[in-house]
Amino acid sequence: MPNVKVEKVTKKFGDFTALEDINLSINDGEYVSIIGPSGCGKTTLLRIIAGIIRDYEGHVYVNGELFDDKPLEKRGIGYVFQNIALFPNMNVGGNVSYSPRAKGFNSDMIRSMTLEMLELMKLTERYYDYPIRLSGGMQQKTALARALASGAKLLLLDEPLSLLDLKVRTELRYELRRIVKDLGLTAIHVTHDQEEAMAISDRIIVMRKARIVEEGTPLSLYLRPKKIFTSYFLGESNVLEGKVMEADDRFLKIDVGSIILKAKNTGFQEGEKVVVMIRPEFIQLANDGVEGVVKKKTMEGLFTRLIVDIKDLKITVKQPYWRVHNIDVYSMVKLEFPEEHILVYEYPERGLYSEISLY
Amino acid sequence: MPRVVLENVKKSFNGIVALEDINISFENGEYACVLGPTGSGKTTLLKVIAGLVKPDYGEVYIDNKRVTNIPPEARNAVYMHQQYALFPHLTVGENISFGLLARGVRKEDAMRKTLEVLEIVKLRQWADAYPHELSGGMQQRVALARCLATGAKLLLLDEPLSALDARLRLEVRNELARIAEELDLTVIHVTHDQSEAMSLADKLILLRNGRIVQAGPPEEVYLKPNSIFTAYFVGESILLDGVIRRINGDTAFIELRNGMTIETFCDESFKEGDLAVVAVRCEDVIIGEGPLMGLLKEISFLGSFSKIIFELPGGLKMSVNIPLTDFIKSDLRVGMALQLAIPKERTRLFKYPAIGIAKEVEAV
Amino acid sequence: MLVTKQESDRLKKGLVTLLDRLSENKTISYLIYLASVIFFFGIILLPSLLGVLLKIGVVQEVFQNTELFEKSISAVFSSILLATLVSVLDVAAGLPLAWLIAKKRYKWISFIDYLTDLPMIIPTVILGYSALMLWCEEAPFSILGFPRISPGFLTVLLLHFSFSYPVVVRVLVGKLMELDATYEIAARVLGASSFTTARTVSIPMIKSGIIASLILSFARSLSETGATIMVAGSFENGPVFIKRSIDAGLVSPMVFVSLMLIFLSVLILLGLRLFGLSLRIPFRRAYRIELVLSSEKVVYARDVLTILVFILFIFIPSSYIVIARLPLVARPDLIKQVFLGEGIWASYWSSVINSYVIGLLATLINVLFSLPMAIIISRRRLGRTFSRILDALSNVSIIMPSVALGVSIGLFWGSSGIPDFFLVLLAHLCITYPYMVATMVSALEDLPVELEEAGRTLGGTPFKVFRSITLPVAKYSFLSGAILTFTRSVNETGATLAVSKTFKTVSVLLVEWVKSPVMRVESGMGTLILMLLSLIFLIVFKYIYSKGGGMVA
Repeated sequence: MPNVKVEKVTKKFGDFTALEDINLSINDGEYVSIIGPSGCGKTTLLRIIAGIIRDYEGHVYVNGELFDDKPLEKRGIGYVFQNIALFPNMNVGGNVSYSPRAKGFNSDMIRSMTLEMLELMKLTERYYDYPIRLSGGMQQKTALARALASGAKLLLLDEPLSLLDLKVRTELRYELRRIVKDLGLTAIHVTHDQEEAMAISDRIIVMRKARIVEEGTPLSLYLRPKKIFTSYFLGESNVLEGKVMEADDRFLKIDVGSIILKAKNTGFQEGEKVVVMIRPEFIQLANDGVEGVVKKKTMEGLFTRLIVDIKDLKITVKQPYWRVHNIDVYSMVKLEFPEEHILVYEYPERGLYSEISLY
Repeated sequence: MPRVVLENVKKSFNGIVALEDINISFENGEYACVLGPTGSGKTTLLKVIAGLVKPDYGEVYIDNKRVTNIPPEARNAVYMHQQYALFPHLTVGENISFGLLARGVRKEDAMRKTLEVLEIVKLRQWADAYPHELSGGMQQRVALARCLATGAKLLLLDEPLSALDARLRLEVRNELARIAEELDLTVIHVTHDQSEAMSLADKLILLRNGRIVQAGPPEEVYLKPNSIFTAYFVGESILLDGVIRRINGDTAFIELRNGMTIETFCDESFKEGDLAVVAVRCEDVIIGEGPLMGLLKEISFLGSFSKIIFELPGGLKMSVNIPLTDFIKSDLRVGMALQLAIPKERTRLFKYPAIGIAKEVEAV
Repeated sequence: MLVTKQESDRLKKGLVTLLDRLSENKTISYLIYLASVIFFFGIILLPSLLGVLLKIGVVQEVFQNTELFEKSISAVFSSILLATLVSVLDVAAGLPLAWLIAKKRYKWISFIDYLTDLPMIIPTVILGYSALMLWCEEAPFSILGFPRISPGFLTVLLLHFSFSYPVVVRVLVGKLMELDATYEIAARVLGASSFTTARTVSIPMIKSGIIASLILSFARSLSETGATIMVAGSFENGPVFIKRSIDAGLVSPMVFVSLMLIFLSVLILLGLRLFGLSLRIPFRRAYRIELVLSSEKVVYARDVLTILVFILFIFIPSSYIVIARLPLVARPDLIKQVFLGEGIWASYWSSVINSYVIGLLATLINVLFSLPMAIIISRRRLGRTFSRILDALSNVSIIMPSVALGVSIGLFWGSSGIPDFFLVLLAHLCITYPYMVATMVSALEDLPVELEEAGRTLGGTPFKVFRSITLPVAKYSFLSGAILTFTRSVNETGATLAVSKTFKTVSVLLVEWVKSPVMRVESGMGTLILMLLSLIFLIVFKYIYSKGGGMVA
């Protein structure tokens, strides 16, 4: 059963560093997502594990076996591509049976492996269709069946859903996770879509500029991110700059401009410059709290977004639509900032912008 | 001032219908989003307005002037391509001034205007760079600047955000809304992303197989879907089919496939014995009370909300969304058996589609 | 200066504005399209076909003369056999080299890449002469144990192989580069060895390129005349037979063989296109042998063999002439004679000028008339069906043997008393036209249509968009098309020989010199000068090509 270990991997393309000293280990049966903005090196890392990129520093182990010199066709890995890459000269059956045929299996085995996978993906009826006749979602399902018919237990997914329509994308991701879990596979899934990563993963690895920023379960990364970038990248946040006015053992009082916020003290001193992050859905409308004016209201489905001006401060608030149904634009509201959801970080040396900018 | 009207527009390509019976107007200063799955005809609709595609039938009016036979360059509407279509042999500055010079603006004035719009999209220092030297996000801003520079008040955007990373998309989305408001533009924005459409639009137009399914303010489309397709495509809905067993005034009692009965409002177009589909928003299901019993099978966490999958008797699956703030206060775990309720006032009742639910919601 | 810069600027601006305004007028653009369509039918297509078709009556004479009939049939048969062998050999030897170049497996491969264009750019008569010396006269390989070959079928085969090979490599490299690497990676990740991947994924996916290569090399072999005559000895294929008929003043066998060649080549190539596209290579499973073939050692051996074939049969035969003739002609008095244009060199230089003037005119006229044609075809301006038909018809003269084409044009215009210069020009127009149209169509089709759409909605009139977007973006492709047209014209011998006995282009002149046993030094010198001139073109071409490549990327 596959576990993956990446040890001190560095990769340069000319002057450009794509990966810098990457260490990670992935357990058997785990569904791990690697997320980050484009150009952060996540796809390069996946291609190194697959053996598509061969010259790099450091080591890759699968099940404890050193994989650095193993040719890609012998690695027994399932790989799903962003651009799907179904062979256009073969029909669905031809594509899915490609791996057993390429491995020289006998015809009974080829047939049974292919049919089993087609069955699993509910694609049996499309056996004789050529890829061009399938919708995007179907094509990607076929590609997944093709990757799995190789008998691979380690599945690498390179932005597998990003070229599909949103609706298809959201449906397919649950299917992806179901199949991985049902077949007991290990999956590494690269994506730039944080919602997708949170929805399907056991663990998320956040990358930025060739390095790993932070890793953890979706919930822990979302609620208690250790880094400003994680908090910014994974979902939305109000990002405020402030200064610690008072600090005691348990609480901080932080001046963020127009208001003073109370937060838990995680080791800050009075007078320190800090960054405060608070997710819009944690800010509550209350009977008493800080007064502000609603500048804009947009319904986005489950949530309604309010932009509230508190003097010079613009605060974004997200509430389920039924809770803010009767609030009009330009009306006064009172906001409450729950202290347990206010995240406080040291002010970064090179400035806030360089810490959160995506590139 | 731009007001766009389409009358009975039809268009097909090689016998395949791309647009059919399109009657719609876009008001001056409106931000309209045209939403639909791939192949629903939304890009064709935009190109018809831009003049890049000539309708087989019907008329297009801009500013109350019939423009059906007027070429794109004379329509005072700019179209932004999904892939930006920046001219590779021209610098950022030259790309932006192209539209001005093409409209006969003097060179000095064009330069001044170019710098002005570069300021708006915050790319002033990149005026002499070539498009391939810029990141995807920057290219997108150049393409937008190029449109803005022409001074056209009607902006036609074809999936303007879809080539961007998810996180960047959020940033640019807000930027787009700001610019449209500040410059008082009329915008028609095509997308397949319903959350993007809902957050930007004053008016939402849902397209399917070349036809308009529903048009209106986002709240209205979301809260009062007029069809199974709208309920499915805009936001997330649970779709339950069954037979109307009894009608009592404006209340219908629907027996579902698994034998359970739920109550909905209905109008006089329904009769007892009809096959029907009940749609309810995934966030409207109440957990912890009510007549239904469900077994909690799966929890997935999606950031500001979580998705809970319940299994009801007879293998019926129900997906319920709850806000994160409620989720962390609750004590939901896989394996729990819980009471569930579908509030009558949150349901919508539709006729059972002749082609079945799956085919009905599947686009194309 | 009569016109100041300011004035000329104003004039230019005025003209451009005028054209911009005119372009909005639909009538004018349709008039331009009409002109290009009339040019195509009146100058290119109909004369190429009608000339021989109208003379079909004389064919009877051939049927009555058994000996002549048998000779004609055997010439046609030889041509077809030769062309088939050459095209198969080309693809067999060209695919591995194209693979090497496209995959950039070795750093020095770009050097080989550069060398492969050599035989494409230098006139085929030089190749012919070079091959003649290499294989038949001086036979330097005899020290390696290769026997000296007397002129005949084998030398013609070797010659045709060497000049059509580079075209095949160019086409296949292009196709392989276009092929998305993801497909091969996908196959490898699924467990296929590199050979299996090539057999089941890469080669099936470049099938259209392979068919195009077969067609191109087949057509070139069928067309080539000048160099073939040089090395043919007693061997007689279609073009050689026609040339000899012309010399002997026999019209009927000339028409008969031309007709047969046109008919058969169209038939075979049509069959190849139809049958070839529906051909599928079945993939049941991978075989053990493929693992062996994928092993590093075998791949290495294959690479060495490929390069060796290239050097022995392509590179040395095309450049041998320099080694063989340079010592002979490097005499100050001869060089002086040459450059002063004394004696026989006067006619040499005038033939060079003839070639270049014809080449230049053919290119210019073709650019002018094929640009609207390319727009009609690529943008479907005159309806889908008509545009498609035009596309297919414009390719007809690519597959027509150029001698046959020459014969037809000669017969069509011949009786009208047009001076030979114009006859040759007309023939060259017909031969080069499809190349120009094809390059322009593919350049326009590669150009994303969004760019033009963006230009239009930003307020540009059609002409303004064409002038400031389409042309600049596609200009390098257009230029390389123009240069290809030009070199094709300079290299041409078959049709030139067929339409005129007196008008001499440099290629025709050199064929005569080489055939004359007393002109060894002169033919050597003449060939070397032409080669030098061609090399200059090669460098310009490569520069432009690389620029164009850079733009597209």
